[in-house]
Amino acid sequence: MKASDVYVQSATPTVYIRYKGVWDMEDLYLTMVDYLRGRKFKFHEKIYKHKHPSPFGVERQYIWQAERKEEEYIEFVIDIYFHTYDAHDVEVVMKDGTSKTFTKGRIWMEFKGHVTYDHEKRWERSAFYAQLRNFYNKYIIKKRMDQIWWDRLWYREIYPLHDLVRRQLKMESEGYEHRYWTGVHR
Amino acid sequence: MADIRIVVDHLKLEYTGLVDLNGFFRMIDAWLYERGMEKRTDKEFEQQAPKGKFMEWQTSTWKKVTDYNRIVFKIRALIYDINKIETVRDKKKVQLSHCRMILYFDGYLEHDYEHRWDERPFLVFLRTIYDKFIYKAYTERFEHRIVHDLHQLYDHIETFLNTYKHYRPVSSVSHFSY
Repeated sequence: MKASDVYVQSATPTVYIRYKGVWDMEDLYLTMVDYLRGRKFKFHEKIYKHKHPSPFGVERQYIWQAERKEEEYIEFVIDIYFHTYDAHDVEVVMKDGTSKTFTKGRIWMEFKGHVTYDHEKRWERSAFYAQLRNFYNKYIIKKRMDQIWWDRLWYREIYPLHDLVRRQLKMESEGYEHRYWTGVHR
Repeated sequence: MADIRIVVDHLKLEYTGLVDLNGFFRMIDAWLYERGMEKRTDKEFEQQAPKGKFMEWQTSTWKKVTDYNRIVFKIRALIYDINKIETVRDKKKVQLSHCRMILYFDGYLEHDYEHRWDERPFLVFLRTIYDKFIYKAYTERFEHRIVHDLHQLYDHIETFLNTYKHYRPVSSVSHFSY
């Protein structure tokens, strides 16, 4: 990785979830989409693959992308990869006696994102403009890139989404202490 | 590439017994948050197994101590045979988990995390001279800090799990520890 690459876009690390058990697929799907829409992201389901069922169940693959123009110059992008294996429907009796259809199988999820600078590509028209942009990113807004926008995307957008999925799946490690890292006002 | 050195290598903690798992993860999280460490969860795996749930959890946390050095901790938890058990604490019913737990702690010191000194071999050479000779005292100080912090976290977890912190049977302690 070159030092200059850092100043075009700042990528976040990837967080993974692997789960094997029973979950409410419809609820999970709607909750995630609802979260992204609620946070004013433009949501795109780029790929939806329904593979030929095996004796163990169905395999489905989703690739989602959500983007939001944070400011005139920067944009937040969240990429989600979602894969279910051996999924099959099971009838579950709820506490109140009603029955509901859940999904049993395995899930693999990946969450990552990046902050794109100059997302409208206004400063790429000539080499001079590109140099100006480079100077601006490297010396003028560098602190904000490191300490504000990246943190906002990571701790305010991606991590809560990750935690939301953990809560929906009722995982043991749900909840996290870094929720107020970027301030209490969201 | 930035220069990463292993300072604490696979410090291990084993535990079998009752534990409030959610509280356990929150406690580690809170400890990191209090020290201003940023974090990412590398692994968040949970699977139903015949003897009980199996979990693998790994988190990497880091703190930029200077604009050149970054301390990185990696905590990995392997938790086997998780079974929910109803217990009574302070005359109240509480659900805890019985499990077998193995924890690994690693501590790294990363130099030049902004990759400013790794574009040319001469710069890498200068960086090495700087780290090993000129800035040596500071480098060692950061290494001591990593060791101290990780051992403090280890102690904190032992206290949470209520293991024997001060007295241990001789058979469970390695021969070079006494």
